[in-house]
Amino acid sequence: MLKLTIGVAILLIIALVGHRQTFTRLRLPTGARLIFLTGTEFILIGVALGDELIGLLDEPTIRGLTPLFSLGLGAVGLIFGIGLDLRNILRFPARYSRLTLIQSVFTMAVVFVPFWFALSQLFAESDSGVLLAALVLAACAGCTAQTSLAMIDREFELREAPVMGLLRYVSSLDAVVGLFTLGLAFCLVHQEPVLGLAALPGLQWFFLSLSIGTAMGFLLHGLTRLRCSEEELLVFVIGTVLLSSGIALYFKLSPLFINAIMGMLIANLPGSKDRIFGLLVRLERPFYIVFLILAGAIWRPGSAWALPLAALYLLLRFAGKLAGGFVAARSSGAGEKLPDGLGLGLIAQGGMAVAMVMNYYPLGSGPMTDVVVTIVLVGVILNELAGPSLAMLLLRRAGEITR
Amino acid sequence: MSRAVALVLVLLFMLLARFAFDEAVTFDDALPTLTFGFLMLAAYLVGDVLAQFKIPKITGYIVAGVLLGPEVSGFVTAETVSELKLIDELALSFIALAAGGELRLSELRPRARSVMLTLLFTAVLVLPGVAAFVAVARPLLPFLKAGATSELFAVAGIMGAFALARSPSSAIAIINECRARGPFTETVLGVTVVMDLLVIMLFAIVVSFSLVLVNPAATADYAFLLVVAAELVASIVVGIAVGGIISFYIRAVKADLLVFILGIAFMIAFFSHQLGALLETFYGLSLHLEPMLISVTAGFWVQNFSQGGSTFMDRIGRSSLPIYVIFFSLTGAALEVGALRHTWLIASLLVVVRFTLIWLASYAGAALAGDPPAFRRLAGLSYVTQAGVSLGLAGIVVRRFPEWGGALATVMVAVITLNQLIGPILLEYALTAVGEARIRPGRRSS
Repeated sequence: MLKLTIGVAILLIIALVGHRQTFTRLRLPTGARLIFLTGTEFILIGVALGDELIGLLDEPTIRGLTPLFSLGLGAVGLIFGIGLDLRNILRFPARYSRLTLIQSVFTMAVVFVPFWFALSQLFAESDSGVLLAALVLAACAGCTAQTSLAMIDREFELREAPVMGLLRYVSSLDAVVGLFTLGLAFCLVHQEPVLGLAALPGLQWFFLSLSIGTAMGFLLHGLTRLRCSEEELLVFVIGTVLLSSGIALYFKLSPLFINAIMGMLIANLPGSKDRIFGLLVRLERPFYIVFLILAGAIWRPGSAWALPLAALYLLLRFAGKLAGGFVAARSSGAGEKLPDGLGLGLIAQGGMAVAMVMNYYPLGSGPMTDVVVTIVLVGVILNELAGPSLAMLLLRRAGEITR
Repeated sequence: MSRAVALVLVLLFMLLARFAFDEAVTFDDALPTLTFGFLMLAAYLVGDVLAQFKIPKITGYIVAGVLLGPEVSGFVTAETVSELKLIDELALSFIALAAGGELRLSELRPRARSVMLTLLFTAVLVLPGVAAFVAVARPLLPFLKAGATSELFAVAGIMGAFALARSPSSAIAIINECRARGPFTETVLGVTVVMDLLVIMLFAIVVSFSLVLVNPAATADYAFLLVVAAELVASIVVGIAVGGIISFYIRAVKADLLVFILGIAFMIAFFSHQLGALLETFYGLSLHLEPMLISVTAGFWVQNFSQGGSTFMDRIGRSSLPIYVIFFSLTGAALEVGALRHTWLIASLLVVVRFTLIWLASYAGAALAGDPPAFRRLAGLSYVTQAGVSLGLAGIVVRRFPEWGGALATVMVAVITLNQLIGPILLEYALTAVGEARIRPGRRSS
């Protein structure tokens, strides 16, 4: 046991020292740097600590840490939501939003249909279970990571470059479509009505999700509007995120979605948005690391179908992003100014997809859940590795990177 | 939105969440998360509302835990409290790291005489004093058979040793709440931490000899004493090692220190849990001491034997409030206030006698050490709170003395409950009166 403890301490130190060294001293290749930049190493640490290897984060322990896991999940949602300030979004041309929406919906559809069919054939799960799994995969596929684009941005100083600007805009917003799909997916599984009306129980639950997010947003807004210290702000933010995540999970809804709604409300109300945002920025990384470690710890391959399905997912998502980017560029009215293969710049998948699949994990059951988790985690890691090179290829084609 | 309105809203949300739908719709595995968030908000708001009446926030969190817990309103069920045990242990390790970090050798050294004398007088006065009182108050202990003198001596000795136990976690929480700093504060913290260490050994000795008293055919359980001693030494050694790891991390990495400290707290909780389970299986011993001792030692090591003490304390300090809120509200929820129903008289008397003796001992220690008059008068108010280790001692009594241990443990739990409620108020008053609290009760930190 002592050996285990020391082993874990050493693992953590190696990971974190490695993380620091990567940024300050060594010049690793882009892909390898991204492993650290996106926190993929923490998923791998989680895998090492989990049941399959060291066993420190075994199932009872993870169950005991569920609140921390839910806190991480909710915080990711809140951070995302609080970034959605309508005033900022509306500063950009409307065709940017159209383009974002079209490419995201297109990619999700390309992934959803084949997977709905494949999962229903391969797993003996209920129709609603398969529908949920396919929608989760689709929602994850729609997301694009901002981290790799930010890295390219920094490296090549592309602040004013128009294609890069569009990619930045799309990557910051396309998860909204996925998030709403995810929120709706959890509601569609519910058969029992909320309001006693027999019709459309799924929509009733969706309305309830929105209501919970809004109510929690007003609560946090009310709590933080009066003068409060930084420590109090921390208590209110953590408490509200936990409460809303707890309510969401208790009703088998999406904590990620509900917290994002809460964040959107805070972002668009006058008050302590900036202070909450500042606090969340400070806490984002610790939350995210704990969350990724736990995500890695619960990761099990599931079945032999996991890897072939992961390969299919990668392929479909790639095709979906390319085709979605093409269709979106043509139909949004921005086509003539954009290079072919816009989707190449939107391959990196990032943390929101991990959060979405982790949101699904506690409510799923059986080998299909493990397979869905494997598909997304493998997809995220490989897409993160390939994403920057493909984005740079696009930007070279567009003439924005010349060296 | 006023804090009282917010509290009502939080209660309303919880009510709706828990009771709006039947079990077919809900997912019970989410209850710990729901409860965690609810307790954090509700307990903080209760603490904040009570702070307007100059009651320490820590007491507010405990009161909220009691009121919302399984024995009063049932908002928080006993099962959920038990499911949140790992979080509770994590929080304890975190708080104890902070307690160790607050012990600065440079400030403790000039206070060593005062600390030692207070400890000496406490041991000399409180243990025999409380034991004598228990012997006199025998009619209030109906579980003791008539004429069972040896059992009476055993119970008296156990209660005497139990009366020495303190709560470093409560002390550090109050000290942080008041932002207290100075010689009085260092003495209080020093005495509290060292006494918690000594009480374990004293209690083990008393229990060991009580077993012989109760059962003359038995011999003193030296193995038990050895295990306790070994556990203390092992905890200190592990604590030094952990302190070394933290120091190395601060020197070499520093980034994401909060996550690292959280990871360390988790490992301490995990290690202690495994060690506790092992000791309980083989020796029927479960002290709940290890996380506290390991963490205090580690924090002490980082503060005094590395360059990273201030970074460490700064990072802990900035994120400690949510941890205090959840730890003390869970402590309140876990308190068996029902024990007071049948034992309130003897429990209240024990609280009064213990307090009086502690006050006398602290006065004598401070006077002999040449402390200022205010220190002498107020020191005794600082050592009332009891918590985790004391509960661990009650658990040992249940296992070691199956015939009457359960009944005695109920009295002990009742005493702990009262001391846990009164102690923080007295400590905050003392820190404020002595002039070392930088934030007055009822004021918000900013």
